[in-house]
Amino acid sequence: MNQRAKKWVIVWSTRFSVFLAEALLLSGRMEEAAEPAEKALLFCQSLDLELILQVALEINARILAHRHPVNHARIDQMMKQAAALVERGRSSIMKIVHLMARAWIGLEIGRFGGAREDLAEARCLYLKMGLKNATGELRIVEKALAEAEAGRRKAY
Amino acid sequence: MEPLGEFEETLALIKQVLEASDGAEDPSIYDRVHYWMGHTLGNLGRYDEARSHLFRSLELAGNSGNRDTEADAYSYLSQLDYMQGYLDRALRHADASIRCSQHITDPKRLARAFVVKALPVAYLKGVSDYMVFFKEASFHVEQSGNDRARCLLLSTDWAYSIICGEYETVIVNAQDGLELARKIGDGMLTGLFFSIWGGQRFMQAELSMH
Repeated sequence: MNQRAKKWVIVWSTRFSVFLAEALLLSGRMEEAAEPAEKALLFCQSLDLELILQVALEINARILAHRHPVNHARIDQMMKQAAALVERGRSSIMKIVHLMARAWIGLEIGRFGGAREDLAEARCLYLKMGLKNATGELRIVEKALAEAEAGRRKAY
Repeated sequence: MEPLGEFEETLALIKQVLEASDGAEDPSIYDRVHYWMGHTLGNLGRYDEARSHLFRSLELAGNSGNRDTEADAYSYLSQLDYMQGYLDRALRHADASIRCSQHITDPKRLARAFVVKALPVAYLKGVSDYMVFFKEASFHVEQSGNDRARCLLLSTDWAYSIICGEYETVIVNAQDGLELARKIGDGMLTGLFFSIWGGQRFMQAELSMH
């Protein structure tokens, strides 16, 4: 009982740490996001919690994408691990979560082509679910990507 | 049996229980066994197998008239549907769970059923519809006084706020959630304190403080 009670608290605290890290990240508070994100990843890895582990890996990879110099190898390693969990989980919702994370990373490190493909795939999955307009989040990333591409064209 | 990650061990255990029935499954016991089997398989991403156990659980619960199990099985079916993106079906199963919970007037189950319904509602309905529904779900959670249902509600609202791009709401919810998890942890430890040291001793300590 003692162990289970402790574990329950750790599981939920980990979940909320992941949520907090994601929100801080999306609000542009990168350094504040790093601590809860790393802590959550540590706990997720020690527990057998694949869904939260996937999100924790993606958030940590997204934080790394904002750092300079960008550690491409580490980001790719984390995203590969997350992708394997998505494959195993076979959940459309979690697949979309993964695609969105990849698109955010692509946008940050300048892999615009990949980001566009990920967003198109996410849109397709939403369409299959009957959501013609996808979600606010997807539209935010699409807009950010379009602006980044326009900025790059202008620079050339 | 909270989803604490010990899925493979749980699976092996439930398999043994199912095998022990030799095909003659007492509905009043095996409705729960199949429910937990479905729940565990669902956590492992084995959705089709999970569904067949949940439907078997519903069948047995129907025979034994166990509405608790029916409410739980519909609720978990709704969560599986949601995970696979079958949003309309998720909504229907959540509604069935709400109906069962209302029938047995179980505030905790009702609160959880409402929380489960919030996710497909978040995707399928507009902002205003979701806000109305969220208020209703919050009302039931408060009525139930169940902190775990509160945790679920906060995490549901996180998912909604993320997909809508409302990040400040997520920060507030996550901070509330962290505090709530700590509070629940304290409650559990208080319970442990009672069981280890005995209520009387604790009461004496309490009385001596006043």
